Amino acid sequence: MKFAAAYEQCRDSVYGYLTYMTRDETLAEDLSQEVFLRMFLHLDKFRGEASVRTWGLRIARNVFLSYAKRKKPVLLEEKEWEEVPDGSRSQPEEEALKKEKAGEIHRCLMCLSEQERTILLLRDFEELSYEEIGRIMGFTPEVVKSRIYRARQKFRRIYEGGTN
Amino acid sequence: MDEQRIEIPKVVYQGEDRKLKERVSKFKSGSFRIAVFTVVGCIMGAYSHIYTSVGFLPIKVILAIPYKINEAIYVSIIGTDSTKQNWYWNFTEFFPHSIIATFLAEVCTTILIGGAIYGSLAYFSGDKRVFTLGRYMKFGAVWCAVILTAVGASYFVNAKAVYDNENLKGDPVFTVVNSEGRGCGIGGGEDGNSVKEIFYSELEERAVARDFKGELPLRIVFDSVRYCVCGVNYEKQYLVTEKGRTYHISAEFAQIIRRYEEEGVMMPEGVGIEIIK
Repeated sequence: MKFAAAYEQCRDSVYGYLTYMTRDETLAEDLSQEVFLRMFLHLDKFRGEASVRTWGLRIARNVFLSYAKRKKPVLLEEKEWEEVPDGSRSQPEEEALKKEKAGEIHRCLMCLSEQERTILLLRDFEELSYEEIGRIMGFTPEVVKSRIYRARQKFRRIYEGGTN
Repeated sequence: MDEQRIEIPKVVYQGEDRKLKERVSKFKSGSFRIAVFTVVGCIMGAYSHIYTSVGFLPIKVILAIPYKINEAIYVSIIGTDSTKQNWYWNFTEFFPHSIIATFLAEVCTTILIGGAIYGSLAYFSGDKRVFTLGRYMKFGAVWCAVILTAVGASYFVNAKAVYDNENLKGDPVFTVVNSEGRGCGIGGGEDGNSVKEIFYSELEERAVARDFKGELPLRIVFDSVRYCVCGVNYEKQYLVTEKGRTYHISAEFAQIIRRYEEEGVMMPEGVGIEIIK
């Protein structure tokens, strides 16, 4: 597998996952650079048992966790709705409206734990199978299934409570 | 179970790919620089022994660093045979018993140390986000393993040489040491072969009461790469190795040594001589 091909397959997935996890585009870009460097360094060890995207997302999660543990432990914590800053309010009104829903979802995600956020993103944003999510997070598909169920319920509770 | 998905808006990277691949390209250019510095460092290591004759101070320092580190490892930290000299030896080699061990220690290890030092310099001059301390630990550990292997190999080769010398194994060339740097020896060829046959004819390890005053130093070079200095007492017909193992020698070989002491030449009947000066 060539790095260029792996990069093309993973670029938006990795960047998107990290953007949702950090809620900071600059930081997501910085962490994505590290993810692609690690992919480049370990490409020879990639045996193709999972898809390149699954492999890239697994690296992305590890990079995010190690960054958050060292530099920003707050990213690993669940927040109260009021604690999460609303980015759309600082933008022009039209643009803010356009991004309102995305912003709300983003804020809700930040109110989940790191595991809940990751599992929701992998399933509903990256559209990975239970098996693939299990590979990334180290769970069996059954555990993944039940955790997704709980994460979705929690997300909806927060979303409905926040937007009402 | 709740299977209804949550609509999470897609995020597409809008920036340039060059930006996301920045660390990869930095890694490629940095690795090339490290490779170049390592090769240059190896060359510096190979020529580091000439540092004393270089006048220009910066070059002198650059050359001296691998040499001095090597010296510190072998002489100061571990110790070599040359630091445990006895009266037989007046050599400065790290391993006077083995040319191969000395080559490994004085040349190969210095080359590796040079490569490691100057490769590390290139490493630390690279992008800090790519060439991190954590990654350097792996880089450094590999170099340490390589250098320690070379150090271990040189001690192993020397230990084997000393063991073989003690057992008088190999193809010997003899030199009776009569003064510092001079001696009277019998080299290779037919003459040498005759002496070898005489030497090995009755050679046998045997316990004898040593007579130190009657022992003459006899340097033996085995297979052109191993050196040892034994003591030979022609009166009592024995040879003693550096570690004190005693061997009975034939009367004919004892006669060669006696003839050397009495006449100043090492020449049995029908055997030529070679004077080493």
